[in-house]
Amino acid sequence: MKTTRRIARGWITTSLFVALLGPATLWAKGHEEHGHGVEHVASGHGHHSAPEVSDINWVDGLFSRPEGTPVPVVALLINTAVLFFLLGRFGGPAIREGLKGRQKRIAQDIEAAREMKETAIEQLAFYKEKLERFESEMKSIQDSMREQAELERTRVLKEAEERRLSLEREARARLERELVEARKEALRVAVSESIRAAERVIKGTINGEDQERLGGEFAQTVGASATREVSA
Amino acid sequence: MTEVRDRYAQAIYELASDPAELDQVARTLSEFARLYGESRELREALENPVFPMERREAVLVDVASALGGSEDSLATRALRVLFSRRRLPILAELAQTLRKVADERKGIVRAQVTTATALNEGFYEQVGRALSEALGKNVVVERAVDPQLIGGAITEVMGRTIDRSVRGQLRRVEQDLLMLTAQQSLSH
Repeated sequence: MKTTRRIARGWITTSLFVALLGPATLWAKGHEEHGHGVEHVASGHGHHSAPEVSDINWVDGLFSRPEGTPVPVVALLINTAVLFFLLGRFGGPAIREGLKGRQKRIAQDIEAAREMKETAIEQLAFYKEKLERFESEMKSIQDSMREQAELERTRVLKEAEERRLSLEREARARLERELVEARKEALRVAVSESIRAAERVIKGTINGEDQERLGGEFAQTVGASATREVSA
Repeated sequence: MTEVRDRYAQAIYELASDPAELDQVARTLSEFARLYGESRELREALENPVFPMERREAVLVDVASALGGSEDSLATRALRVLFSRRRLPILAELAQTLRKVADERKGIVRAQVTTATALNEGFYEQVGRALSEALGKNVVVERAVDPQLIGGAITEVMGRTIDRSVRGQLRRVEQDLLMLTAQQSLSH
């Protein structure tokens, strides 16, 4: 409603301006025409004189105007009134319709804007809620990840500990095996070297008498040995 | 190859008139096999196709004669057959088989007695008697010397080995000690 009034006020202001502009223009034209005479007069005096209210033709020649007389202001006002009447009589409904259409469009625009605003508010609320939910979810995810990381860390530490214990056990077992092997090897070498040493000593000390004695012992026992061997 | 060897051995065994002849053939073939294995010149003379067959056969007969076999003896004839059929490489195994067959026919068992040094004759006679009594067979002692034995003796008879050498006893002591130490290591 305010908009309609504002538009109407605009139209009235414009019309008045046009109505006043017409007489003023006509006045200026008449004055100009009159001025030429004055100028002619002034050329003898050498200066212009400023127009006054009394110079305006208000009503002279309203119905019949001699040539050179400016259009009276009242006539112009009448013309203007007629113009307004015609505008109001014939252009008014169209203007009203246009204004109503415009009002309707503006109202629709306002409604759409309102709806958009409501939608935006809803969206805002929705996104705020979502953001809050996101924050909550993010916190939940962070907590979950932290928990998982802690569990993973615990698992890795446990596995590392088990691995360490396993390696330690293997190393101990290997060490023990190697110690056993080393001991066996040392004993084997000691035994073999002892036997080689004994061989060297016997070779160095055995003589013909010993050979005969050993041969005699062999000859005495070989029969029994052969019996055992062959029967076995 | 075993079948071929046994076939030739059987033929020679049947052709031999008595165990003495079989023993002679076995000895001749054994000696010839030893020479054939050791002498590259003899192998060249017998196998080189550059020489005529008659010349090569004449060499064979000459060597066989030098080993104690006459031209018509069973050993020489056997060598000729083996030569003509390119069977000389089985000669060593054939001689061994014949020796074994001859020994069996004569009831002889051969025992190889190895000592670190050569011992007196009484030792070998005593060993032969002891083995003959123990095995109930006529044991012939073949002698060998191996200083590596250090002392004592080893005899191989009827596929068995009786080791009473010093080296053998030391080996046994070594084995016993190693087994003992291994058992102790396991028990620890």
